[in-house]
Amino acid sequence: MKKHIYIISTLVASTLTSLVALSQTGAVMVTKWGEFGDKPGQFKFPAMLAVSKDSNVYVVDQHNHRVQKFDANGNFIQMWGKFGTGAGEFNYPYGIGIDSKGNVYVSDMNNNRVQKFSSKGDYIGSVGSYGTGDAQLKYPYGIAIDNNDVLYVIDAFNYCIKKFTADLKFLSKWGSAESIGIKLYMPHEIAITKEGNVILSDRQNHRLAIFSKDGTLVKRIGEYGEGKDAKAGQFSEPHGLAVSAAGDIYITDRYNFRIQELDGNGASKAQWLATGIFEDDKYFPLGIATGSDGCVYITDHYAHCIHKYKL
Amino acid sequence: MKQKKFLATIMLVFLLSFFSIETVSAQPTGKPQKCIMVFGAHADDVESIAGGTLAKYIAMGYKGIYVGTINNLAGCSLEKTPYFNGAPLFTISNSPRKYPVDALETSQIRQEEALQAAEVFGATPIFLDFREPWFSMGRKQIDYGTIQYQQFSPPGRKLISIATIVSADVDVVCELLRKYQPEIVITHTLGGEKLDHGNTAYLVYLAFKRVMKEKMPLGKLWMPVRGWFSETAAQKNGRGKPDIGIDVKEYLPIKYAAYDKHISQNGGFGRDYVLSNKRGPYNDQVEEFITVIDITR
Amino acid sequence: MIAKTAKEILLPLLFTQLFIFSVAAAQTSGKPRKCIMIFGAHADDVDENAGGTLAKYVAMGYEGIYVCAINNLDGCNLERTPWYDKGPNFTISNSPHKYRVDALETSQIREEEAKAAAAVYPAIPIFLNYKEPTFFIGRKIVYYGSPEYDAFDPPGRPLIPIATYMDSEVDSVYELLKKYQPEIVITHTLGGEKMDHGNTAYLIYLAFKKAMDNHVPVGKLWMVVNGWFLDKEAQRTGRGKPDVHIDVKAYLKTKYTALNKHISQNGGFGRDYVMGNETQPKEVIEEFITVLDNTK
Repeated sequence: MKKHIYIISTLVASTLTSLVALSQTGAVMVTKWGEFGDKPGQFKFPAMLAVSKDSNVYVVDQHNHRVQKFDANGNFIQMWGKFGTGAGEFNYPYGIGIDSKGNVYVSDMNNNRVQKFSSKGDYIGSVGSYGTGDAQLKYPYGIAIDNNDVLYVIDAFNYCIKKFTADLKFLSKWGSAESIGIKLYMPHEIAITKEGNVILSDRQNHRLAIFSKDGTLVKRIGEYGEGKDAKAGQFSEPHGLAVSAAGDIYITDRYNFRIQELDGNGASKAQWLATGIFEDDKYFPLGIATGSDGCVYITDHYAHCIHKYKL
Repeated sequence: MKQKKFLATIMLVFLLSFFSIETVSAQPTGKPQKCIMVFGAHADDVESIAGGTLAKYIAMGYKGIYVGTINNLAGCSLEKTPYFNGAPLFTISNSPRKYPVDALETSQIRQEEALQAAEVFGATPIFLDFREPWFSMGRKQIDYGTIQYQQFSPPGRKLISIATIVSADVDVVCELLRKYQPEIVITHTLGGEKLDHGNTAYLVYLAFKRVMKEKMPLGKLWMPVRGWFSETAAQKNGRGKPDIGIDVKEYLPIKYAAYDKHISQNGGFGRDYVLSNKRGPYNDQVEEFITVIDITR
Repeated sequence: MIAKTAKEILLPLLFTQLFIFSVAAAQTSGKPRKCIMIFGAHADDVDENAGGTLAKYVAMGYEGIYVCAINNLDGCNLERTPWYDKGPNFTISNSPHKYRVDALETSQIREEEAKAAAAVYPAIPIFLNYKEPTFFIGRKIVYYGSPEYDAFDPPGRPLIPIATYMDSEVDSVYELLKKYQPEIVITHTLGGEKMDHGNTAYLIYLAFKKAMDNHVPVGKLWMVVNGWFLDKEAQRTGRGKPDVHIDVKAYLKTKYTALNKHISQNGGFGRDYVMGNETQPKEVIEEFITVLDNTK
């Protein structure tokens, strides 16, 4: 019996040690909501999420082919969308962004388009169809909207970043596999830094890349590192990406099961475990967003839930 | 060009007599375009079973249909090693340090590659989207029929083996056969191969037989000499002996160029890399088949 | 009609004269007992594919193993019409008024019938319990992989085509081969038959190959002439021509007795009812193709 207690306490101690080692800032989980299902407030593989100025949280509920809206405490407000190809319908949506007027843009990945909705989910318009043309897309992944309401879209299989107006008119594009520095697979998420640059999660190369708005490489951040001993600034498949009002960069570091915080220059500020459990078929911190109150929200793609942290 | 075509035909006829082979002659002009359809299970199987033959028949004037039967949810890998300058613009799927790409992304990648490969042949690509029997979640394999598979609900129709018992799914293939009325249909070997291959073959076989009964002007159903036909017993008793041999020597560059579009499968190193460990004696210059059904007689 | 039947019986007999008969000699005493294993997909497939051969080899002293690969969840029907006193003590599966028996009950009924059939030879019954791809909820068919199938969660291992790519499942068949070291293994045709049949054949084929690779003293793998081998083209090219012919005339009675144990499949009317429309002209000869031969 004593032996059992000893073992348990050792286990607890070692778990705590590893948690403490990573929870340097003392990020606290404020709340967590969601579980697998198709009822309101339930999710099937949530992807990216975004937080509006009025602190509502919009979640891309990928395998339910819909968007769900919650208040800052996770109370369900509304949802829209279903599987299909019509206006307001989705086929495995992925990214999400909100403009200065509160309109919501969703990359409707397998329908090869981006759809725009009012903050209440009313359909406004869409851009994109499968193809290589300027206003066409091949599987749009992450999207971002800058302070001037310019929409940036990762056009994954055209290997470029496309820019559109808030009215979904094509502006310009830049990038190629070579110039972005990818090998085969596109970055997954895109965000705008405080300086107005574009930051990409270079998932396959286990790092981040900052470009000017027109595609000139500014800098790369990070290197590969995986497992419980991974250091700050090391990543294993960074996916989600968000920049806070203060300019800090937050990344979901998939196979390290943690969130990393960097300052605007890429220097490591903090990191903490999303789950504390390294089980790659059960947990997948994917989407990330910050609220105006400084809170950080993430989606756990495999655990079908949202975590909210206070730093 | 015409002369080249003529020479190719002559060579073919010569070779055919050599193998006691049968095939159609080049397309005479004026008649509706003849058609050849190749049904591969996965994204690169069309090249693997009949890439040279497809290229050759298209060169002879046939309309080529490149069918991907399965929506590939598995089969792309990422390198764990970090980026290094000077590395090729792709990952190496067979690296010991690989790990699998997620299902949705894999299906996008492999379909894009197949579209490019079909373009190399100048063939019409068609994707039937039957489901792959597994995919990876994180780095763990998830099998069809498990709760996780069901929960993930990947895009696609039924599992290919189940499709063979569902009349509506057999009809998906029938519709294609009715539309294109191909003179030649090539697919995998019936039985004795990988699960998806054998079952794809069976699905196509069932559809061919069904459409045949409707008196549609289909031609022949060919299958490669693979799986159990390669066994000593089948070789010995003659069952594994093909009755069709197509000389594709001239078309190998097209076949390999198409193969190389499947970057996620070969790391961009081309066919030597893909095929080096796959089989023993492999006569690339002649693609061989067994006639399973022939309704031209 | 009679003339036709006679022709159907005589012709194959004539043909068989031309072929080399490949029948193992009777068991000599003193040596360890030889074994024959028949793998059927469903409960009555053993009897249908090789019932006569199994009976013959068991009579020659072989140990007979009767393997059902699939846990039958489907395939039993009830009559909608009410019971009537003079009716037979069973239902008529092919009646237009039939409807399905629930999955669990079906698997119980068919397993019991298979045990009774195995006892006729007598052979050792083994059930591998792979899942059936369909069953009925009420009168609606439910497919493997659907939410309803998962919710029902019927007993059994993975679906048989899925088992073919799982090492652990191939191993479970391999273990059987290792245990019994059969001289003869018979199963369905590779490809070109019902899904469950073709995939069962492939599973056995993979396990047999593994046994050969690991020097387990298995003998031959025979498959029935079925599926695409019956197509004109295969007949013409000789691919559908069997190389093994077993004269089972003396054992047909045993075979039919065993078949008739599967009451749920034949309404108890016996083989004439079951096979009335599909009686094979060569029933006195069971024919196979040698797919693997480890004896040479």
